[in-house]
Amino acid sequence: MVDVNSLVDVKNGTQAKRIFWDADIYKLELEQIFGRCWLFLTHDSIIPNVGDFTVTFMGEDEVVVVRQRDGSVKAFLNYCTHRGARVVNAEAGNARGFTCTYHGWAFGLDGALESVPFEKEVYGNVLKKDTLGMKEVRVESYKGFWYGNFDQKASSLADYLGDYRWFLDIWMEGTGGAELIGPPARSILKCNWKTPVENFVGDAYHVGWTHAASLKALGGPLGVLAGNQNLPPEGAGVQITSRHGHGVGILFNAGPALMAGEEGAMAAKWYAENQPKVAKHLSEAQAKYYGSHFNASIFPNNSYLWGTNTFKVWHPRGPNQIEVFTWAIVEKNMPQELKDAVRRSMLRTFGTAGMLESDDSDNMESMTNLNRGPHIAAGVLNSQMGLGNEHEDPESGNIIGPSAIGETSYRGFYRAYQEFLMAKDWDELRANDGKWKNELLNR
Amino acid sequence: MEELNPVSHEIYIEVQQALFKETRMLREERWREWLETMVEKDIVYLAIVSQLRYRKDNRYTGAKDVPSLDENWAGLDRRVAQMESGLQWTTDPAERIRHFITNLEVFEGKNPNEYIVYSNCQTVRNRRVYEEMTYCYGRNDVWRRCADGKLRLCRREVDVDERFVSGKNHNFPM
Repeated sequence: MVDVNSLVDVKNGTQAKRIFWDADIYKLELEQIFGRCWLFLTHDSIIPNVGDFTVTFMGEDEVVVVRQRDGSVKAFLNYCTHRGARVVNAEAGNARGFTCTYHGWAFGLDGALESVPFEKEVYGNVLKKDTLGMKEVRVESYKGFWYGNFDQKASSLADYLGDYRWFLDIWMEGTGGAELIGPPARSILKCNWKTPVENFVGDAYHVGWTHAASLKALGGPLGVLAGNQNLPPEGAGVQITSRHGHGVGILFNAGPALMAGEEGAMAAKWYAENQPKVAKHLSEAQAKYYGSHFNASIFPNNSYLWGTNTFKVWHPRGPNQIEVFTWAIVEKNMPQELKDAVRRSMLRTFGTAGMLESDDSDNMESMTNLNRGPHIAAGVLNSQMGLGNEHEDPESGNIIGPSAIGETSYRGFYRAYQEFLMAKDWDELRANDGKWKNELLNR
Repeated sequence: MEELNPVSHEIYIEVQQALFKETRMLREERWREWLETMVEKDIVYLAIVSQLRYRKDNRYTGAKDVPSLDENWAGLDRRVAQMESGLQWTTDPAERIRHFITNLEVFEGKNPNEYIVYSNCQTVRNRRVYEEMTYCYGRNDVWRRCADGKLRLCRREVDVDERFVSGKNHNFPM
């Protein structure tokens, strides 16, 4: 039995070290978090046409996501309702239906069981075909990004994203939408799923140190941080955390990030030209953030960087392993030349051969695997930087930490983590809507 | 498929020796020397994984290639600079990387003085105490005979067999 109350101390900014290792905690996470949160599936740009499908995971459950004849999207658990074999073996494609390889049960794009070989001869009237369709998962989209949820009682995706949408809209909507460049690269890392999520949600602290060599070599606006030669000055950035733990760290006007030279200039020009459009389309306040570098996670396991333009899902595979799905992400209206440059920069930095990706994964793996030692696994992790400096953000409705480097979004992520582990259902979660800020703001 | 003309035994051996020299240079961490002496300025260096698709599916419009590496000379130069910085703690202590290069075929290239070079590679990479990672891939290279008479790499497309990166990442000389 896991004493959930002992795992996170929100006010003091600490978490029990065993959250990166303990199998019982992991089992609870699969039920309480991955069983109830909105989990990223795919983007409109990956399955544009009727019959297009892609296979992914929700937690450890494999799902197939399919564009329907009416243009909507459905998702199904990727197993046959007969004896449980996998139905779809390709990772993506276009199909008129799906046939199980074991006995040939055939399902439609809508998941319905359409035909069973020799049905009349071997089953007579026994089989209730209308109850044996592929098991459907609830899906919703926000600005073309599709998420799935196992819990019918969960709040809508829009409400789940909540006030954090204010920061998503800046790049998902500001200049006419974003798109993923697929297919995703896939890699296995031997780390707990939360180690990359917390890093992306709120760790600007490690950038200058972990990535010192990469930053020094690559240059660009982030290059000045190499080797902790410079601390970003006051007003250089902020950190944000939100109702359900989604968070972002922002470094103002660092959009070209690690693109130097001509490519960096091309990116800088794009951001400068489009900032007024974002102001007109969204708001002046949001335009202020456009062209900045974002490091962010959408709770629980979907992260993105804007500027280094990677979009990732960290699928859990047991308490100490993950499978990473990595896409490049661009604004739809960027010229092709800039899209190509952004994609190449992403591959060089955070792709599967990325210079910075390799730095991060070494830390994430050791943070996880050292916990095999019971003395190392004891005690707490520390995320106290900037504790007490936060306040409510009048513009977006979230909580803001007023410095580029701090651990506000860590604390917000783990506050939500604990809340999901403790709450018995979504009604209880919704009942906390009015008071979620109290602990973080120590009031 | 277009018929390719095999090169003479003499040139075959010369290309083979260039590949062996290259891999030894990289193993000895002579990255700058490799870039300056064995790589052309117009290099295209790719590593491509393939998404799994049904054989008969010709309707899906999405890309099938999943690039791990897509570098030009400037990008390779930055990667070498990363290693030269003295700050790269992930390779300190040093990694050990050994390429096994087999199934070598050498043909005349599309341009005079260029050779199409096919090979298979198994690469074993050791780092830290416990990480031993093995990668299996093909290389489709183009090597060029330059004005100084030496062979230099001008295109490499690494054709990666594994769909997922089992060994952490592809951030090593493939």
